[in-house]
Formats: sequence, structure tokens, C-alpha cells
Amino acid sequence: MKQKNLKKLSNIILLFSLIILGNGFAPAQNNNVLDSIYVKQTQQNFDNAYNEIVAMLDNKQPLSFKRAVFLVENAYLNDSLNYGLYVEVINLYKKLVLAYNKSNKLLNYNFADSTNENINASIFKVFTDTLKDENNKIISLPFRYNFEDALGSKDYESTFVNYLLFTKKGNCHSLPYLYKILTEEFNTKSYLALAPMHIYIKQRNKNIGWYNVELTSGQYPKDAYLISTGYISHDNIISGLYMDTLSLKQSIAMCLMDLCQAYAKKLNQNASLNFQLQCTDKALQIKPNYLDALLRKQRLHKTLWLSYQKQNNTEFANSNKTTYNEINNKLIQLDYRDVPLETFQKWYTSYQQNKSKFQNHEINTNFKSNK
Amino acid sequence: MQKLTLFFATILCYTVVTSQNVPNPYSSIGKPTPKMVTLSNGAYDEFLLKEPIVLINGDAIKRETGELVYSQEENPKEIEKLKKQQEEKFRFLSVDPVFKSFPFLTPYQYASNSPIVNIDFDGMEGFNAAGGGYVTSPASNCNGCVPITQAEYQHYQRLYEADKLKGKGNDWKKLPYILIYKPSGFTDYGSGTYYSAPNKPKLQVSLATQFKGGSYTEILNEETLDKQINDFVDQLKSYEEIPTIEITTFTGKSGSKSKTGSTEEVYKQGSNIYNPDGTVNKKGTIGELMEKRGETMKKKLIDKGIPEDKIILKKGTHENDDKNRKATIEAKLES
Repeated sequence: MKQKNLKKLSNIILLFSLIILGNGFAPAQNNNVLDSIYVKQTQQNFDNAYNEIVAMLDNKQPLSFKRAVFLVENAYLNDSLNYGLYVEVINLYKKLVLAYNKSNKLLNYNFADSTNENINASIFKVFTDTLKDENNKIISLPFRYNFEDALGSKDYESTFVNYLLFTKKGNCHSLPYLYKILTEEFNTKSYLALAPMHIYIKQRNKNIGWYNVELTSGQYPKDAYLISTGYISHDNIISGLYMDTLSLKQSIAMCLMDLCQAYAKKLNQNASLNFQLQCTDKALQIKPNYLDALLRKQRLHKTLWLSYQKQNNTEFANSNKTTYNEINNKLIQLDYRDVPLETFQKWYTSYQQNKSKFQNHEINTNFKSNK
Repeated sequence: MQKLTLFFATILCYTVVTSQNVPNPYSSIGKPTPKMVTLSNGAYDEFLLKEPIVLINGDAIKRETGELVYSQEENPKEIEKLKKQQEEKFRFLSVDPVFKSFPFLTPYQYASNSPIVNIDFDGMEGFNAAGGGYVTSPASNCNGCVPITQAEYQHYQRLYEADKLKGKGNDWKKLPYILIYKPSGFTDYGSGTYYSAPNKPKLQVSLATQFKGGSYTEILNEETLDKQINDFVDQLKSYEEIPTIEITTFTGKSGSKSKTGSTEEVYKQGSNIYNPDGTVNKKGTIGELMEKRGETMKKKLIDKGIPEDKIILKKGTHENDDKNRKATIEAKLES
């Protein structure tokens, strides 16, 4: 790619980011003004998103992870995002990846899936490295981990792909999502995979087989590293709770749970339990051992059980209690347990340290330039 | 070749680490950290255990039934406690270090698979927690003698031996009493019984016999007696001032279980005195024998340079001893 084009690209990205920040990320609605119209409108937005995602899952509409992610974020942001703009910015990144890939090829990788691997490695490079042109001018900066608000507890929007696209700051939710979207665009293969309180990417190539892509720290960690530091037991892996690849459909089912979580954040944890149960049930239908859905369903049935108990409706209370117990049993079968706070803090601080320690040196991401 | 290198890479990444970073599962019993396979060098919790109560979504859930035990809102303190107790108590991280001596037991067992009867202090052998020994000083006027179990006895014995081997350490000196142990199956006090209490001004030395095949046999021949006296004098070296040594000639039976009668009767009972080669040396009563033994002991101590006025030779007061025993047994029955 020529220097001029790349310059244009970066300018356009900057411009779009300003536009989006001006429109979409207006200060969130204050919860004190939860009048019925606002609730109704929000419910409508979420219902629309739900219907479209479910249509995808029911094969009535083509599967698109890109679209599903957008729907969730748009619903949370009061239908204020522009899909055209979103697609365009993704296309810009696509062009950036293609441009990089055109002039840089992987060294010593001559297997049959070379194109796939080259594209994926280029995406990784765009995500994690500063790109420069021939004159050493910076074209693109890497995505950064959002240390200020990693869990989106201050600002839920900071976990969004849209936020990542325009601020270059993301977390373990938005970064792998965007990666997945880009590989979906290029039709190359990558899979989302789960770990406790974490999402990462799994890929496979003909040289070394399966390997992991960790975008938060820009590494290719080994499985053993993930297991030992990630609070994962062997039963978790056997049961498929963690470290399993997710199909496209399952990834979209994940978006459905994101929608459910966004809904609870937007309105209230106890707002329309029916809608939340709908989301969880549909997600569980696609992926029966999907942790987020199981945990939310457990919480919802507990709420129902306790509220019916207060109303002295023993029959309903008991039926909800048995469901609650059943889900607990299922989670125990999957060998789930809450991550202790200490472990989580350790993860958080260790991102910066130990950078090269557990890196998978088998993966070759050294590029040779055409020049 | 590619596959081979990958294989070796995965093998190498499992390093056996004995580092200070690895939490020591045996710290409570004072053993050093064993060799453990770890990847993060102890920085992360790699041993996820299946506790009987699991935390799910902040609720404490029974693992067996999936029922709610308590939730965070109701019982935040209990949840905090549970988060801290992420440790399973009865889990073996390594094989039993003495498993070779017990081929009939699994190498992963606790106290010979009898956790109610037996107790294991230091992760070696299990010992009877209740039966076996009771405990008292051979001296009739033992004040503050504490009953100990067989297991406790073994434990202290080990402490004593370990400290002696190291040539330092004073743990055994903390013992508040003279350590006498009667092994189960024996009806009389065993030999080798004079561990002394260094924090007491008065040392007590017992001359004990062992019940063997229905008759009293003098087993403390000259050689063993010399050895034991040498040991004893060695112990005295750790004192700033030579304390008073009280030699009590003693023989006794365990009251109600007695086959041959009271200690008084035993005292008068006849016995063969054997030479080391097994030939009979002399016939006499147990009492006479013990008193003679006491005198030789006194002589030997004087030979070792202990002033004569520091040594008191006492005859065993058998009657009192019997009374004391009865009293303690009755007190135990009452309690």
C-alpha cells in the first residue's frame, strides 16, 4: 500500500472516531429518570436486537457475528449507532490488514494453509504492533488494554467493540470480538474460547496444530500457562466449560448473553426477568454448557424463588428452587467454582510483568518485508 | 522431527520446583516443602480442590445436592470465611514416606487406615491414640506426672532423638515430666526409661525390669547399664550445676490388671538373674535385686565424678504406689 493511502486511512479513522464519540457515547441515561416511556423504548430496542439475533440462530437470517455484536451495543446505546459507519471502520481495518499483509509475509511458513495463517498473523500484528511506512512514519498504533476500567464497571461501554474501534482501548471482551469479526470478514478461521472471566482466541495451523492468541497482552500463550494461571481444573476442560472452541453459532449465542447483561445493566438486575430468561434459555439451547448463561439463569431463578416465597406461593417457589438446585448441580458437574478475588487481582497485575515468560515460541510471527 | 521438538517442549515446561514460592502443604507439622510439580512456581493456585461446599455466583452450595447453604446477602461473613478456607484438609500430595515398611498398606493412607483409633503426629507411622500407654513416673511420689498416649510418647521420643542427632536444639528439655512409657502388651515398665527432666532440680532415675515370659528377668546387664549411665552423665553436662539425683529402686504392676498381685507381692517375688549369655547367675527376690542394682548405679555415678552428697538412694515405696494407682483409677472412672 502506498504511503498516501495509509495516511488517508488513519485520518479517516480519527475523523470517524470523533463523530462516533460525539453521537453514540453521549452520557448514559440517568437511572433516576426511569419513566415508563424510557423503559418502553429501551425494551423495544432490546427486543429488536433479540429478535434479529434469534432469527440468525434459527437459520432464518445469515449468521453474522459482526452484525450480532453491533446489535447488542446499539441496543445498549439507545439505538444511536450507525451500522454503515461501523461497517466502514471495520473495512478500514480490513484494508490496513490487507496492506500490511501484501508487503509482509510470514518467514518460513510454506504449508497449505499459508494464506489463512498469513492473514491471521497480519491481524495480530495490526492489533499488537505499531505500523510504520517506508519513511518510518507511524500509520497505526496497537490496541491497548484498558487498565483504567478493565471490567467496564465504571463505564459499561468501554467493553464494547465500538469503543475499541474508536479509542483503541479494549479488554478481553472487545479485543477477541474484533479479532473474530476481522477473521470472519477475511473468511479465515479463528475461534473464540473461554477461560474463567476471560475470552481469548484459539486457532489451528498445519505447522503446529492448535494454539492460543491472547490479544490483551499480545502473546501466544501455551495451554499449560492458561491452565496453571487461569484457575482452570482438568474437569473444566473435559466438561468443555473452558478452553473449548466456539462455533460461529455459539459465538452469536454469546452475543445473546451479552445482550442480556447489557439489558440488566441498562435497566435493572430485576427488570423483566422474562426477557432475561428468554435470552438465557435460547443461549443454552445453542450451547448447553455456556457458563454465563447458566450463572445468570441460576441468579434469576433464585430471585424468583425468593420473591415467590415472600408472596407465600409455595408451589411456584418450590419449582423455582428445584430449577435453581438443578443448575447448581449442572455447574458442579462442570466443576465450576467462583474465582477468588485474590486470583483475579494476581491476573490483573501480572499482565505487564512476565511478558516473555510463557510465550509460545513455536508460533512464527516474523515477517519479511518485500523491500 | 517437528513433532518431536514440540513433544520435548511440552515435557520441559513441566518443571519440578522446590522453591519457597510453593506453598508448603506440610507447614503445620514442621516438615520442609516436598517436591511438587508446578508451572507458575507457586504464584497461582494450580491445585483446585473439590471442597464439600462450592461458591457459585456468591452462594455457598452443597456439592452433593446442589442446595443453597447460605448466600452472600444473608451471611457475608461466612462467605468470606469460605473464600479463605479454599483448602482441603485430608488430601495427600505425596506418597507416604515410610510406605516401603508397610507393603500391606496403600501408600496413600492415614494412620494405618484407622483414623479413630490411631493418631499420626509427624506423617510417619500411626500410633494408638488412647490405648497402650499410660504414663507416670516410676517414682512413687510423682507430682505433676502427666498421662501421655503411645503416640505422644513416640512423638516426643522422635523429637528427643532428632535433637540429639543434630547436636543442638532443646525441645526435649521442655518436657515437664520424666518420660516413662509402658508399651501395650507389657504389664510392667519398660527398660531404658530414664529420660530426665532438665528443668527440675531433682533428677529421677528408675531401675526398671521388664516382664518377659512370665518371670522377671534382669535385662540390664553390665554393658547396657554402663551405656545408659554414660548417656545419663552426658545429659548432666547440659546443666549449669549438678542437680540432686534421686535413684528409686522400683518395680511395679498396673494395679487392677495385675496377674501376680500387688507391687508389694512382686517385690517379694523370686527371680532368676541372668548373665548376658543366658546362664542363671543367682536367685533372689525382685526387691533385693533392684536394691542391689541401685547401689551399683550409685557407685558408678560416683566413679564418673558425681559428688556423693548429690545422690540419694531410695527404696521404692510400694504401698504408696499401689494407693496412688488406685486413687487415679478411681478418679478416672468417676470422671
